[in-house]
Amino acid sequence: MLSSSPLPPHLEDALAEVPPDERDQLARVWDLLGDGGPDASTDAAWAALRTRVEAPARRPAADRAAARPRRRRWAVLSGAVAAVVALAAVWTLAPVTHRAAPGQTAAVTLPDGSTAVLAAGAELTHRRALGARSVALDGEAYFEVETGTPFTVETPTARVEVLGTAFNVRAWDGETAVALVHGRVRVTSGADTSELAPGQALVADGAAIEAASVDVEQAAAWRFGAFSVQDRPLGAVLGEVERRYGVAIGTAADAPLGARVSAFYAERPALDVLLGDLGAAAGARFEAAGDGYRVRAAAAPAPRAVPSAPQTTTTP
Amino acid sequence: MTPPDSDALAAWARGVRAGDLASFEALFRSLHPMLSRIAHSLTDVPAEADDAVQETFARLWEQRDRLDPERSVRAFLARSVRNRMLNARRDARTRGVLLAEHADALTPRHAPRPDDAAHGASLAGRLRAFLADLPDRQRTAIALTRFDGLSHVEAAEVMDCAPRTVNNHIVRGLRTLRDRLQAFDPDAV
Repeated sequence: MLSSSPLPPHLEDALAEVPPDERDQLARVWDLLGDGGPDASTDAAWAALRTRVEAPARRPAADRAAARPRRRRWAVLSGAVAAVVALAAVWTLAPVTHRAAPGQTAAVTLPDGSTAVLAAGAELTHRRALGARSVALDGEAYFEVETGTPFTVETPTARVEVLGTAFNVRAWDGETAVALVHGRVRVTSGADTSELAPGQALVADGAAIEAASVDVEQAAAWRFGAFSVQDRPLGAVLGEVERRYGVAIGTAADAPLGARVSAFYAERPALDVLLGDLGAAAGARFEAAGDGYRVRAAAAPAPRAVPSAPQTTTTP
Repeated sequence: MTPPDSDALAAWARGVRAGDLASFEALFRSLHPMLSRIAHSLTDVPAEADDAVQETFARLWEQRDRLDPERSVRAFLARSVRNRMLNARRDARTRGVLLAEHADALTPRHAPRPDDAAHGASLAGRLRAFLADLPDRQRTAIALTRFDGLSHVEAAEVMDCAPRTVNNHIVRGLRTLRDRLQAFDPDAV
């Protein structure tokens, strides 16, 4: 079979002494190697990197001007003339939804220049209602909001109202955790309302609000690659691991999903390191299963005839 | 995609050095796909590859004043990605020793074998698994130069050896891959 050679010149030279048959075979192998590699998600990678390299004082909307002229126009207009914002409310715009794929974060510049960084798996929809800026969030995101303009984040279990602020919202597993870095927010959940001061955090479950004792900088550090869980049940943490690493984790009947664990890694840990540590902390064991892992109790299951066999240490 | 020409790369490199974010974005968009493919060819753990590429670019921006626009920025970044992955592997080994007490919490995942059904039946899929089994320098030489990647001169710079040696590693690697493909399917090659 005659085929044009895909080999680069330096390899042609290196194979000059090789018999033609073998040369063709090696060229075929070289050709095959070019197939089937994963496609790089350059856009998402750039969005994540951009949030890291930009100076905090910088207006992200301006930097994306070339790529998104329309957004920039929005930022300029709404920043300049309040009346335009009111006018914008009259326009009926289809809601825009942004989603961060598993294993990735996504940076979103909102029409007014405020920014949100979405954690893996999070979904943010923005819409406008009566001049108030409002976004709906399912998942976790970190917001930096411009001063002076009302801004609300609605999750399935709470509403967060904002005045010029940076804060983290985590809305997974039937509860919403809010951690305030600076500024001021008011959170409403069910009939309960609570205001946060910088450094404070709370958890809302749709009916009531409880103060939470967490390090707010750590809670928001995921956007720099950190992995942070503070006194959360193993089951919820594994949900986080699945989203962050894009891996599936099955559960055995005896898995200690309720065991509470805390862990902080300033840089994203390797998956096997993380699972090893979580397992040690929660008394669980992870085994490779299919494309992912399966979690079960660390101790060998006690024979059914001995119902009071000691369990591994977990904090209820 | 045609590889970006070296004049454009050098211009972007000068821009990055001067702190121009637009140049940095252009450089990133131009080289990210190539570096990703190289990184993914050097490990079986996709997250490890993505992290190495991302950290390399973040570092480039942080230390942009150290960038030398007169030298190949592609080779510079590829070298940085490779070193990062070698370091990560070394740290993981060190950490593995420290973690001995936790070891029973995790049943290690075995590297994907070419025979795994999960690895896909495609020839290209098999080939990638075979590639993972090659000696490190053969695997690296192929990863750097395939995928619209580096020239063998640039690869030699990354691997600290003569261009001729890069070619030798590639040819030896290709021979092994051919033998394994033929053993798997006599009609494959």
